[in-house]
Amino acid sequence: MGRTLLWMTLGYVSCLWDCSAGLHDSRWPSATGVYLTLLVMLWPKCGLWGAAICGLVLDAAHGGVLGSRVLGGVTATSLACHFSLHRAEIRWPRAAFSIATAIAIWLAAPLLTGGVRGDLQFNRWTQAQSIATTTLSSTLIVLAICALVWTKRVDRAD
Amino acid sequence: MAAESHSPPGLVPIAAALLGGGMLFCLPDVWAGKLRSAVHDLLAPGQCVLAAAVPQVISGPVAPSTATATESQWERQARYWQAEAAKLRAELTEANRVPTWPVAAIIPSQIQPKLRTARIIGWERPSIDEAPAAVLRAGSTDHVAVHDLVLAPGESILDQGQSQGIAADDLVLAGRSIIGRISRTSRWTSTIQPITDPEFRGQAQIVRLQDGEAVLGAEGILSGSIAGACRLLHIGTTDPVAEGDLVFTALRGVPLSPPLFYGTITWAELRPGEPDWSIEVTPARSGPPPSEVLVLELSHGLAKVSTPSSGAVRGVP
Repeated sequence: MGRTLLWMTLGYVSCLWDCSAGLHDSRWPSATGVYLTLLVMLWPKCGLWGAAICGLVLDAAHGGVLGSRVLGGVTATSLACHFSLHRAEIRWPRAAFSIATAIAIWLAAPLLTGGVRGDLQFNRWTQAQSIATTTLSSTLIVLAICALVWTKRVDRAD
Repeated sequence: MAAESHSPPGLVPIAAALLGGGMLFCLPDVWAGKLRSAVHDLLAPGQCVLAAAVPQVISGPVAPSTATATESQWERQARYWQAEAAKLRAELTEANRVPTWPVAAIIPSQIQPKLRTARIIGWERPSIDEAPAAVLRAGSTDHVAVHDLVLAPGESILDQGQSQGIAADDLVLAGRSIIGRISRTSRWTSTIQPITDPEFRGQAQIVRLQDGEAVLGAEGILSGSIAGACRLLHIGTTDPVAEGDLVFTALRGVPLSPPLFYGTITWAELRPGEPDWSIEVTPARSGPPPSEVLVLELSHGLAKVSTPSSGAVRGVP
C-alpha cells in the first residue's frame, strides 16, 4: 500500500515537472520518461497503465493532440516489456538501447501524431535536437539509478 | 515482488490501452475541453506549490526593473489620456451635431468591472509554432468566466478622482494592456487565450495622433496571427491609418468606458483591389505574460437612474 502510494506520488510529481516545461521545450531530463521506464522495469503491467495515465495527463495539460502520448506511451512500454527489461536479467548495452528507444518513442509521440494530422511540422532540427538531448539525459539517469540501486541489491543478495 | 508480476502484459490490456488512446483522438471538442479542465484541476495543487517554491520553474519572465516599471506607468497614463481625449472630442462633435439629449434618457453603465489578481501556474503549448497559453490559478469558484479579459498587472497610476468623473473601477483599468481572454475555465483553474492566438477576435478602435491631438479612428476587429503579432481587420480603405497609431478596445457606445490598450500599428498597407487595409498591430506586451495577471470581470449590476419626478429608480439588471 505504502509502496503504491509512493509510486503514485512519484508519478504525480513527474507529470508536474514535465507539465511545467510547457514554455521551455528544451527542459531535460523527462521526468515521466524516467518514471515510466523504472516502473516498467519493476512491474511491467503497472507500467503499461502508468504510461496510459501519464500520457493522458500530459496530453491534456500540454494542450496538444489528445491521445498521442497515450498511444506513444503504451507502444513504448509494450516494447520495453517485451525486451525483458527487468532487474533480474539486466544486460547493460541491451538495456541502454531499449530504454533509449522507449523514451524516444514517448517523447516523439506528440510530434509524430501532430505531423500525421498536419497540425505542426516535424522537420525541425531544434525539435530533433531537443528530443535527442532529453532521451540521452533520461536514459543516463535511468541507467544510473539501476546501477546504484539494483546492483547493490544483487550484491547484498549474493 | 512476485515472479509473475514481471511477466509482460498480455495482448488484451495493450489493445485496450491503445483503443482508449485512439478514442481520445476522436473525442468531441466539448469533452476534450472538460477533460483538459479536469486534469488542470488535478495538477493545480502541485503547480501552486511549485510556483510558490520555485517561481522560475513556471518560467515567468524576469520582473521589470523599477525604471522600466515607472516608464510603463507613464506610458500607460499617456495612452489613457490620449484615448480619453479622442473619445471626448468625438462626443463633442456628436453633441454639436445632434439636438440636446434629455438628461433622464442617458442611462448610466450597468456593467460593473471588477479586477482580480490571478497567478500563472502552468502553460499549455500544443506546438512550438503556437503562442503558449497560460494556465491561471483562478476558476469558476472565483467567478472567472469564459471571455473575461486578461490584463497586464501594475499599480493604478492616475491621480485624478471623482471630480474628474472617473469612478474607482476606472482608475485601475485605465490604459491597461490586454494580454488575452479566458478561453476555458474549470473549478480552480482557467486558461488564457493570448491576443496573438490566431483564433482571438476582439472589437478594436484606432486612436490617431493628428497634429499632436488624439482623434478617434475607425473601428475594426483585432485578430491574432501566427507570427506573434496581431492584425486589424475590416478597416476600409477610405479610413485614414498610419503606422504608430494606437489600437484600443472600442470606445464609442460601449459601457466599458476606460480604454484598454491592445497595441500599436506597426505596418499598414493598401493592396490593390482589396476593400480593406492590411494592418499589423504589435501587442503592448510581447512574449509570455508575467507571473501574475489581472482578470477583468464584467458583471451586470443594478444602476440607479435618476428621473426628475421620482428621484431614483432601479435600472434593469
